[in-house]
Amino acid sequence: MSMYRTRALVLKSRNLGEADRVLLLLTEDYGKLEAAVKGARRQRSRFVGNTLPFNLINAMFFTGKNLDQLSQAELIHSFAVLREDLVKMAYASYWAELIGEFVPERENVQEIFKFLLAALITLEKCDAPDLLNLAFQIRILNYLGYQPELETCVSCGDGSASLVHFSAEEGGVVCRRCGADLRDLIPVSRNDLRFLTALSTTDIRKLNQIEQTGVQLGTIRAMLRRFIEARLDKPLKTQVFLDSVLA
Amino acid sequence: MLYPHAMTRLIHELAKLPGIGPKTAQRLAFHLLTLSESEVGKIAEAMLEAKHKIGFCEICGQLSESSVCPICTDSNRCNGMLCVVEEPKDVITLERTRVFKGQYHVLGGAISPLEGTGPDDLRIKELLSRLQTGSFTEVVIATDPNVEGEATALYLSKLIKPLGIRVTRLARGLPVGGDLEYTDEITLGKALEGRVEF
Repeated sequence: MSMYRTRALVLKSRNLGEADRVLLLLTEDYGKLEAAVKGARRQRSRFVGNTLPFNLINAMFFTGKNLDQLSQAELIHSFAVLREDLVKMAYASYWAELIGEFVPERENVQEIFKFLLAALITLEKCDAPDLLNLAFQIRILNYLGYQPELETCVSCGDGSASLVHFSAEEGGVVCRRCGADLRDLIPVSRNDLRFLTALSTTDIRKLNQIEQTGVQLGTIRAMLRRFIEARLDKPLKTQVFLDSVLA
Repeated sequence: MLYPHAMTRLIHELAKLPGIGPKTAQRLAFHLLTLSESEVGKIAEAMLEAKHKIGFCEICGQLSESSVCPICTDSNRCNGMLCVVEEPKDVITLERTRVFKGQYHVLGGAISPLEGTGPDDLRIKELLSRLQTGSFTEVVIATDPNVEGEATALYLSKLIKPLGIRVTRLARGLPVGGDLEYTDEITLGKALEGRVEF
């Protein structure tokens, strides 16, 4: 039985048997993985508080036959604010599901780990997380190589001023001519596309400084939502909760 | 190894129960075979009787053999306090303390964004209508102290506070007989925040 240590963010927790839990974690060195935690639901377990979702922990695992086992969890940061504010919890849950769905298991995703950590720290202190959420979505897509095409028409490669629609199915912007044969298009402006590009490059602590004149945030939200749903072929469960909390 | 058909069927059915894997199901099946026919009959009868007789209380959602449970019909209980819990078994756990003398409301689960359980899947509408028509002055939210329980508590407090009813949450802290050294940081932090004066 071998052992390994790494920093990890708890994404999700589900019950196993009478008193155990299975955690979905994004680790710094071993990527996304699932691990069993024996007795984690017992009131006196040393894991009971340290394995809550969104916690950042120093974790030690033993490799198991089917599932690795968490043997130590030292709390680094609890992100308690994210569990005590309904809106922030909804955003953090959405991000956890996004990563759970998109990131393959056991692949080295150190950049994504660092970005998620930075985003959670920013979310903790953020008063209006809407822009942060949009930036999070576009950047996760970029990190994983799913970035939507925003410069030229995905069908014909035209980069002129006639890029007026976004097609989630096609994976980017389409020109007026190519869009004529497509369905479910989202009308977009140059300002929207410029803004979305800026969201993917600007420091996430300074998103408010991006020029928003002429930008329709509703359009950006719809673009990313439909794009993500088209890639996953299903809506995210947490999106419904996020919608109900923001309503 | 192949078992006789009846044995295979029994193992298969037992393995459908929560927490019972194929090995445990096999052990239980062998144990049942060692019992007398009347003992096995009693187990089967108890299962069927529970299935036939037990429903949910129309008022609070607790398990009950009648349309309204004994707690809701008990005139000696306080009508000003309502304790909101996730599951029927939580009512039993709280009743064992013999501390709470008010009414209960069972939600039937907790809001779980990652599992897709939203407010509409719980008995929240029934709760609000009870609060609007009843004489409750305090709602004690006794959902589990985990992310789902917290989400539910936050959501409920947002809905209930505008009704002018006091909303409280069970305290979090050290277990009685516990050891400070082995307490996790979050629980200890909550215990410090919720410390009380002697």
